[in-house]
Amino acid sequence: MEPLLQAVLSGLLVGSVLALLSAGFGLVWGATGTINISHTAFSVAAAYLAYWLTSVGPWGFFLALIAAPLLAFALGVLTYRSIVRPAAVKVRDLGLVTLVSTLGIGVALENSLAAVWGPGPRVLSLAVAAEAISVFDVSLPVGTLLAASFAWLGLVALWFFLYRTYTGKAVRAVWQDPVGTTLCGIDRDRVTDIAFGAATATAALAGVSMALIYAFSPAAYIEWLIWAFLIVIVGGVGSLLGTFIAGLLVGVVSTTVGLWVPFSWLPAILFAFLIGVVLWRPTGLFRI
Amino acid sequence: MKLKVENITKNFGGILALANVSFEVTVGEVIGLVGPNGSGKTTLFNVIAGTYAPSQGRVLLDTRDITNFPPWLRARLGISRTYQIPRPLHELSVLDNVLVPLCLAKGLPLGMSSRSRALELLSFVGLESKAGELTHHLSLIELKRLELARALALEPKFLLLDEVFSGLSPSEVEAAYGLVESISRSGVGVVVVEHNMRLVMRLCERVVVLSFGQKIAEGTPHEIASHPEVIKAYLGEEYAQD
Amino acid sequence: MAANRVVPYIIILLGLLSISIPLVIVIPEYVLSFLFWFLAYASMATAWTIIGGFAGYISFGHGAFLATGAYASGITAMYLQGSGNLSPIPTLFVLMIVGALSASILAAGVGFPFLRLRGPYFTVASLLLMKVSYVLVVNTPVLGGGGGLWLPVPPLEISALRYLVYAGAVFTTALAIFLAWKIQHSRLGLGLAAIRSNEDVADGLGVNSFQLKLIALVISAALTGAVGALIAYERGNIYPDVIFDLNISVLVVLSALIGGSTNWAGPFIGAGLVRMFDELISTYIGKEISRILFGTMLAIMILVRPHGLLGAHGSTKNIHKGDLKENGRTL
Repeated sequence: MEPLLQAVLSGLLVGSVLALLSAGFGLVWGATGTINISHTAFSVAAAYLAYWLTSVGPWGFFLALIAAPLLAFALGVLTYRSIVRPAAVKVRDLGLVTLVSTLGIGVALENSLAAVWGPGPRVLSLAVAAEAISVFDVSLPVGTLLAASFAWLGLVALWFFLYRTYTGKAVRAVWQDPVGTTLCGIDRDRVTDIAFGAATATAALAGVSMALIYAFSPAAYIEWLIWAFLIVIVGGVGSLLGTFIAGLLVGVVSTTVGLWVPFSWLPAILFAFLIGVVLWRPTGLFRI
Repeated sequence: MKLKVENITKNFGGILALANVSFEVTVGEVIGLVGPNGSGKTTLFNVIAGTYAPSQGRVLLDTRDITNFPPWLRARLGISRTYQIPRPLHELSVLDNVLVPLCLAKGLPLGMSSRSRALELLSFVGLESKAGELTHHLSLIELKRLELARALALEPKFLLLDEVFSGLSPSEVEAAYGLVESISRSGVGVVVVEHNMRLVMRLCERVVVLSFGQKIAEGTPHEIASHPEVIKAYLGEEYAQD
Repeated sequence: MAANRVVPYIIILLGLLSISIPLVIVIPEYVLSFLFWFLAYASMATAWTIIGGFAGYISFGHGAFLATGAYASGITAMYLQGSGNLSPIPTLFVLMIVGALSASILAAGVGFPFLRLRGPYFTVASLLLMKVSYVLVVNTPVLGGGGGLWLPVPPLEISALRYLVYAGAVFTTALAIFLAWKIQHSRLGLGLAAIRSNEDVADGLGVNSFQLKLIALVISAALTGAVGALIAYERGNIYPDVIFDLNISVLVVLSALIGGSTNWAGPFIGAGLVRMFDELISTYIGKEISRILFGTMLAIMILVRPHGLLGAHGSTKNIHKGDLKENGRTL
């Protein structure tokens, strides 16, 4: 029973981080119709920032925790203004064009990281994270617990933004009815600016959290993207609650399946499952 | 040959666009399909053409059940349609737009004969001088003419015209009217969705009236004009009491 | 139209390349390597454009076809060596055919579900295909797993090998360009252009779009698979990290976009430009910098010139226009 309990608990923790990683991705997809390939590239970049600052001193980690989302917010707004908004105006096939364009950005980001740190995997070494504590007779790494805490904070902040602030509500309104909102006097561009920025900021926070659990390399962003894609599709594009639940689900599946199936097969299984879902219902399994 | 829709119902999630609609067209007839905005006329066209599958009901070509046939097959079997807002193949020239159905549906090889056939069709609608142009250089009436030429290239048995007269000046309407008449005389069954009642009265032998997805009346233009349900649908209760 | 003016130059260039085959002995190694990779990318880009440019179905997963061709040919090579039958020229030919066939089978298999997806969803599915293939390969010991697959060394001296491989590259490029040219001016090409413009309308005009897309995808995959076999033969080994590299897809797509994705000549030209810049920047500044530039270029290009620098609209229109004038009619 214990290995199973361990797997489930750790799956819930990991799943929370994956949920945060996916939430911003889904937010952007729902609000602007953009499948932002560079979303997870920002996460990986944030992970590297954390890695770099932590190597200077343990306080560096906390600096990264704050700086990365802020930087990412700015870059997110920049991405929206320079790519998504012009594309929406002049292009026929918005979804495709923004996808390819953000893919280009992802590649550029990936190679920027590789230029500095090389293509090999890195591990974040934070002393406290390496320890483990016992909860319910199950041993959980502190790093994972910390990561999940940050993820929960991020998710709550995102929820608060979307449901309790004027701008966030405006974002949800734009989501549902882009034309109608302009009639209500909502500055769609400004609102979407902020939504994009917020989404990228959560990507960065998630990236820093992921660094506490996994090793990462510049090329990892595609793999993280596929996780995000899977979760958003399962949870439903545009549903924060759905994304959270889907994240937990995927997290638990990935840790428990690892008990019976060799770990290296896991991505293939999940990705194949994802292909199946994309073929069956591209906009999501659930509609919450 | 007959085109028949039988008890067609179409549900979009919670919205009932069509409810139990049935009617029939024979080649050579001109039928009008009218109704207030949102009554389901274009949806019905989409069901006949195969873009939408009906939630219930059948589409029949003579005795053949084509309800599950894909759009391209229906086009090849003789059902052709135009769009309310013209949808040219924007990457291709005007001539190439007409070549698409000629060479891919009718099976003509690319060459002199298909090109001259395409030019013939363009002449019929008055567009032969624009054959080499790209479609974004065309005006609205020219685009509508292209829609027609393209639809005719399929040598259809049934032609579904979705608001082909809207947005045209009176002289353009007369010209289009003449084209539609000659098409029907050549043995094509034409279904016309139109808002201009005078045109419908002149052009159509029979009229089907939809309101909120249901067929509320069918008959000659004259019968329809004095039908209480029709008047109610368009003008409201008070006028119906007559 | 730019493409038409360029045609004679391309023919001359291909001719020169063919003539250069016997001169392989004299050409310095690095020039030969550059030419080989230029031709490999030109073939891949031309193959890609048959589905990506002509039909408008943008795939970033052609690496899966490349890899299938490479691995299938690698396994075949090992089998042939085992049975003692390894005379080089027909062998390379056989390996390339195996590569093409295996990739076509994969394409036919994934085409059925994937070609039902539109626009971005198709692109995402193509990325997924590549990732799933990667994971499958890395976990399959028979294919060498993560460590890679080593091909048996052909019993040839180096210079003859270079000659053979280079000839293979020229042949594949010529074949790809020929097929693309043929398709573009055929009914298949007309249908693909219609699909690219508006698939729903094309369906309504009697175009069996699924069938045409499938044919395009299979041809595209077959050519790519042949290139995969060629590359495996040239390198002597296949590493998953190398053959499944997304950056290859980026360069291939970029080549097609820069040269003009809707005509047969564009990808060839684009590949030439891309390879030249890649070579220059990689050598003098750094490989990553080159990729950063190309990534950025892709991001900008798709926004500004979705059909490429040299091909604004499909040349289908132009060929017909030209022909109409030829027939003596003034239009």
